[in-house]
Amino acid sequence: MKLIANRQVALLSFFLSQSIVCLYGFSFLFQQSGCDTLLTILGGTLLGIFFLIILVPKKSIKQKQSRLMALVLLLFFLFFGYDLLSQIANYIHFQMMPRISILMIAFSFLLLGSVISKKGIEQVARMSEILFFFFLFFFTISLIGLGPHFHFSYLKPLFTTEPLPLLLNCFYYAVLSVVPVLLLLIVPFPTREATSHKRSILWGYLGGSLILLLLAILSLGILGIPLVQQYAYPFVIILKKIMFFGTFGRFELILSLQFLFGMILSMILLLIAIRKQLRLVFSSFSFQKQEGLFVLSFLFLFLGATYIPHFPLPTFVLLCIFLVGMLLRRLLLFGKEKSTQP
Amino acid sequence: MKKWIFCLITLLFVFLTTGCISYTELNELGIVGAIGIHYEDKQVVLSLQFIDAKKEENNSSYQTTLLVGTGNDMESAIDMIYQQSSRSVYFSHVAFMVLDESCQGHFQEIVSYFLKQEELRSSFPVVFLNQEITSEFFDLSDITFRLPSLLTVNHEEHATTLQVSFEDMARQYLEEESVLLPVFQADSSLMIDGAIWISNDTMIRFSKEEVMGILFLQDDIEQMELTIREDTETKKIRVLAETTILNITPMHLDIEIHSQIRSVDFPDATSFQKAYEDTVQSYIAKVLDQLNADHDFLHFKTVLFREDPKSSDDLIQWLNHFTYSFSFHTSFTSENSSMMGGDLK
Repeated sequence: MKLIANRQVALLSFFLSQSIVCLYGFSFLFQQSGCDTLLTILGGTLLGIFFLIILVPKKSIKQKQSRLMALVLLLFFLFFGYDLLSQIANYIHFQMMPRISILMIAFSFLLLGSVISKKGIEQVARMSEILFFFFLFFFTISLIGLGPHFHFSYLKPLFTTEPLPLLLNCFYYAVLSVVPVLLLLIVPFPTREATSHKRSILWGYLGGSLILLLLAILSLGILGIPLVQQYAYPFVIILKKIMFFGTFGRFELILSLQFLFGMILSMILLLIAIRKQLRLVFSSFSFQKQEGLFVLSFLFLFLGATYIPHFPLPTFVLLCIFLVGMLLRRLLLFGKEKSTQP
Repeated sequence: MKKWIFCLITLLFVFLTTGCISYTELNELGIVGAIGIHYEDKQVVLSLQFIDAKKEENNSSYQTTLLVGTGNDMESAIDMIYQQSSRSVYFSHVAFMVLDESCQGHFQEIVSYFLKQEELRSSFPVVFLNQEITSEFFDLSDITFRLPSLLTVNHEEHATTLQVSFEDMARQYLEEESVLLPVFQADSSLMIDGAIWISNDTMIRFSKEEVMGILFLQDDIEQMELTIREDTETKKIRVLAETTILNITPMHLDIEIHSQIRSVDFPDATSFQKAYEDTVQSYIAKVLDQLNADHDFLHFKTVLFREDPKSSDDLIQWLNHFTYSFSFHTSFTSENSSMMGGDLK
């Protein structure tokens, strides 16, 4: 069994921290904060780092997970999973393939994720390394191509949002960026005993937040706040402006793939987490029956993303509940560790 | 056995889900080269000029087809055009959009509809036509290519034309609920005829010389921002103003003006108004000195007011009246330039 290197963990954290924010974080933040979205991302990053410092243990200690906990987590992953799949399918449909049915996109995406999740976290970690090179390449081209269209004046006015809404928006950003990273604590990691990936996770998170900040700056600086608030994915719209030597343009479809990497990885890790929880909840079932249950989960995710009305509570509340649950669990564990120490 | 069944299902799925279900031939795609929008009897009249490229033996040529659709909104107008052509409308290659006087009050609909079109690249120019948009305008030869190139040449070489893209127009409208567009005259040939500023209830036309002045004073500059605060008890007005460096380089003229006005207190709105006029006059006098101008043109200066929400209704009403148009007439028939009054529009 190959171990996962620290850099692979950092890269996973890098991609995961961007996934949900790109999907529905930006559109909400630009509506609420306007140009202060830049401050929101900075403040939210600090808050996210605080959450990760508390939640990520210093040492990787194997902890037993109760069946009840596994069932609760399974339900959370299933309901969050179909919302995530729906958002990803909508993103691909409206931004990349408008003439392809959302059903086909959701099914293909889910099938791809299921096949890769069966391979295990090691393959996913290796995948993240390869995807990072593509990401760097596309992002560099985007930066070079968008530079001439940037207006510093569009970044004003700053500090127009009241402090309380600004803090709430920072919390919103922190939740959206931290929760996918917490999947790394749920999925089984083949790692050396007592090895901590805390530093790698934090560095990856910081890198992801830096990319998101750059995307927000570029979106604001190129479109201006009135136009940015009209679009759900402004960071994709600005890619349409890239043209080299007045002739070579229309790269937006290829370049927008860079934003898909984080979404793919978050979906795959979610599926790995679902497999793990199924094994824990239905530990008495045979392997074939557990795989059959996974197929049922697959169908649930697919039907939920395409046909079933979404969970009544907004996804953000669901993520908050998960985060609070993880914080409480961490505090309880911390208390237990302290009480068992001589 | 199960593996083979699984492989078969996967192969079937691959062939059924990918491929040609939604494939569209190029000649089934209606590539829109130009958009004309006109309103009549509360209905939108949408003119779309489609480009049909043809490849022949030695060269390739193109034909254009104009289709007009009417409806209560853009969607129904597009549906009517689709029924006429049986081609799905494709906005990815729009060369320009033309509007006319009837579009006043309908910019919200125009901006919100076309911003939602994912295929649309909003860098195409938007122009205003001095007469009603008819098929004769689109019949002018090669208009899809001539109009944008005419705009570009005039803007870059002669500095007598504004160049406003759809994105610029949308941004301006969403921010200020008004648009400033270049105006075209299309009698027998295509001619640029200044610019027009349109809000929901006002239209102000500018001649070519005035446009030159606008470009001199407005292009590539930060707007002068005045923050006005009124003390509701004493009625005193505090003005905080900031202007940034103005770099103008049309026609190889280099001008740099940098002025900064600190906070100034005025006893009431009237004295502020007079002081503002004096300040802008001296500002424009500086520009004239540096330009050493000897041509007829009018100066136009946009001042953006940032209102304090605690200001009184009177002040806000006065500011709204004051906001966009403040022009000074200058006469250059003699060597001595003289300033004549100022018109508040």
